Amino acid sequence: MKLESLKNAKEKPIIWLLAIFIIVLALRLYIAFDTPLFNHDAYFNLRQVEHIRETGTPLYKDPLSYEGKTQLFAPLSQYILAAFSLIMPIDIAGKIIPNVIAALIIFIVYYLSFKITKNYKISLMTSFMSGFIPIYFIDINRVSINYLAVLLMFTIIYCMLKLNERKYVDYALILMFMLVLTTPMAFVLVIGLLLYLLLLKLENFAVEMKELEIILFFTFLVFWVNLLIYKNAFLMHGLLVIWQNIPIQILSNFFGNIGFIQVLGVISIVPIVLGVYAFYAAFHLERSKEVLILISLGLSAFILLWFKLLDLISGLIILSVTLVILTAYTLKRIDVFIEKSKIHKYDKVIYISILILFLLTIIPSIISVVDSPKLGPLSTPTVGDVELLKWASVNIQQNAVIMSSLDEGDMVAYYAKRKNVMDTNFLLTPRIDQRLNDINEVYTTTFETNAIGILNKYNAKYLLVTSETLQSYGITNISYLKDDKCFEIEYIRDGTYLYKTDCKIE
Amino acid sequence: MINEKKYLVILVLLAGVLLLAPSTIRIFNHNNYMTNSEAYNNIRIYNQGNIQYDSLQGHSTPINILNFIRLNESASNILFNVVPILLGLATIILAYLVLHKQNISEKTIVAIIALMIVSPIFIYAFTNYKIYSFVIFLNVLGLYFLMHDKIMFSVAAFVTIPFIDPFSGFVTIALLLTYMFSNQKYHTSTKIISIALFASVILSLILNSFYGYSILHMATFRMDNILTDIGANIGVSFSIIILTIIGLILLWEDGWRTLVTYILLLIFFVISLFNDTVRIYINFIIMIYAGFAFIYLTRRKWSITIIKKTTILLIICSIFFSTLVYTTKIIRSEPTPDYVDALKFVKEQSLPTEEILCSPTIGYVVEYYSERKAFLDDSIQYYNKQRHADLDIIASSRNLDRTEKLLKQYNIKYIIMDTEFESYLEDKEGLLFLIDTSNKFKSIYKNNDVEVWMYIES
Repeated sequence: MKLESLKNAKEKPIIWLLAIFIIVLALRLYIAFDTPLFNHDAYFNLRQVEHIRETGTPLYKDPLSYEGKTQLFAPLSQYILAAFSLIMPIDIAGKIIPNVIAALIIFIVYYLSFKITKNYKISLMTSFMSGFIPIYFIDINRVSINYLAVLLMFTIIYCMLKLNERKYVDYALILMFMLVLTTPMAFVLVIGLLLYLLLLKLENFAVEMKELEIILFFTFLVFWVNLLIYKNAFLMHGLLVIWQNIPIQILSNFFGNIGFIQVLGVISIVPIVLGVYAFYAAFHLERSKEVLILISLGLSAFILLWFKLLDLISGLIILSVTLVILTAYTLKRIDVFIEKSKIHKYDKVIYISILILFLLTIIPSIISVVDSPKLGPLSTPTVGDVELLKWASVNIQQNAVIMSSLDEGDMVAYYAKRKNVMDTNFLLTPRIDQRLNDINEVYTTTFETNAIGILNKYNAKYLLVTSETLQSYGITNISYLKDDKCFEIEYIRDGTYLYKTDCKIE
Repeated sequence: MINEKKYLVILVLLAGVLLLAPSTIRIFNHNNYMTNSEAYNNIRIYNQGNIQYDSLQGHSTPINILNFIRLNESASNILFNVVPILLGLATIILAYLVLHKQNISEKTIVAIIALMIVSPIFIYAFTNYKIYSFVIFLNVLGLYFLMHDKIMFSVAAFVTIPFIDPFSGFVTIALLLTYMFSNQKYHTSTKIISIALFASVILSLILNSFYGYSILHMATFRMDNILTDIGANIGVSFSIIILTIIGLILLWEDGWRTLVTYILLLIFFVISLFNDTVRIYINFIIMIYAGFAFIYLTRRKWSITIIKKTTILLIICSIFFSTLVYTTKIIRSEPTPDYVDALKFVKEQSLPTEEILCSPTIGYVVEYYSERKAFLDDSIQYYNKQRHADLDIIASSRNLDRTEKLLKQYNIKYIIMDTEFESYLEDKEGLLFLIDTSNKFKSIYKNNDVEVWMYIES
């Protein structure tokens, strides 16, 4: 009886899905908890979560970032995290919840694949693949909003494919509101849906009125809500707000060129080849509305990436999930072909081979992504950095300004609870390039007067020097700091220094 | 009939409220000064008496027959402040009547006119003294007479336009020809008007050339922000653009005539990205398509009612948001009483030949109140491109000798440092560095809004 029920259970896809979910989640949490800390840019979100937990509202008027400025962002993701942080510590919630959300993608991929193929085995295969896309591992420790955004996007697409059922209309509306309140990446979906309408017209598909109405509504919603949230940024930066006022020096890090080899590395050859074939087949061999909507989203992400209107990581994540789902369509076509051919006896072997090929290609890529020194989830501050900053939060003046490298600014605000000179929230900051140049000058100049002049300019009395900062500038020490007339070591911890200066340039 | 009159009255009242709101709120905030820079320039040219030459800026000006109307001070104040609003209201009434002649449904007409009224460009054109108030009014008046087969009156209205602004005459011809091509109804009349208008444009060009105004300066082209939602001065709302696209699709009729008309309209749209005059004209045309689209969206049977209601609500909110953003912007714009005080101080302080360095966008205001030449204003940058390049050098150079050379060359003695100009100079850093570190600049006046720096030669 037990064996039979077990056998029956094995036949149910939900059991397999849960198994895949647990495996994916376990792997992600294993990597996440390999370090107790987060990537540097996670600390902005953590600070917002803390503030929401304490006051109920996001910290829009931030007194610490850039010595005090207004932050602009859509806060839903932070609210969700804040809700969970009521039942567990913030750092645990920051590790678990984004990774749970990330792992949930396998369910949506399964349901979308099933809608296209009506084949649960193929759908399980693609949902398995979606859990192991290398680029999807990059934000494990970033408290990233990308995971929620991608989950919402593909869930909306699923709802769009089921608009004939009334409840999915309601779900689509609710999810659209959620997406718009999570991220400006909703624009990618808007453009995708508009491309979808165009493709429907070109492919002589009938455009359903419900689809048209929902897309029209979503277009207005996305543009208007983002205009409301980012109005001040538009007024200050104009259309350059698309590039988030990122300093020119580091702009290429966010909106870099996508080389084919890099794409192979972060997505894996199997979804790329099978996904691109699906693109071809959908236009030339067998037309399918479900595939068209996915192609449209993929095209939208690709075009925006190509024109550097979408940051590299977000774009590659959307593209990779799209390609994985399109893989299901290709696998279905392969399945139909195999069924009719003489090699139908070997269908299991073929699928297992594809899966093995996928695993062989992604395992080194995942390892490479996880171990990536700058971007990987293990690229976190050191314990020494954190303890020094915690010490500073208790022992230095409340209104002190601590100068640090760009990447460490959020961490300074989070742990030391003191003002930073610069962090990774660039919007509404004037002369951003000059500011970054000044910080670089402080860490690389050999002239004490230059450094003091810049520190005076930003009213910074403290200078944080970490081994990571020195490494990033390719230096082993900062020569002028040896002069203890102007710079004294306020605190030191495991190779991390906090210098204090009272000197002024008159 | 009664309903129609009721709608028209409501629309006129709405227009009146929107046109009066900015200046009324400013007066409540103890600021009686006009909001728009161009208006100051027009008034200064009018007041100086010499209507073909700007004696302050030292270049010729286009012939504007409005400047021939010599009035005393109180009458001219009415001209500058009240007449534009009256022209706006008259434009609304005439547009309403013109649309009525086109057998368009009452609701659609109301939607079109309402969208026109709340459009930032309408508010821009009909507040304070601008040539666009008269140009747009004459266009609509000409159309009204055309629709009512009063050709001579129509000709009279249209041929006046080039003598207010020659480039507007060109644009009017182009749009009339497009209309003539697309609509066979008033073909002959439009042809006659176009010929008359063309002759008028040629005459205006000849007269302007005779009096030394170069036709090359007639039209200025530069890439501008066109979305008022994100701060454009002369622009449209994003929702209107979407509605216009929907309207264009709805009103499409198969046939090459429609195709050609749409291509011509597309060309106008593209040009409007670069030219304010074309953008102002196009605004009134796109409102027609947007109005059709809006009524269509409200009338059609949506498959999901809640989406219909939310979408319509979003559209309305978005349009009103755009109007609100624009109106708030002009309410808060310079000049304020403190600003004017500073300029009057400079007027008392300075010699007539001395120039003032300030933000180009406030140049006309500076010239009006200080009666001194601004280094750059909205027109000089087209007459003298070298000044534009030199402003960049002055703002960014940390070399005192280099900066002084330019300041002496142009006889710049005063720098008006308001928030906008200070922000620009902070980006460039050079001049601010010199002001801080050299002893060649002295702060001679400061209040909440502006600081005046004086350049001391030796």
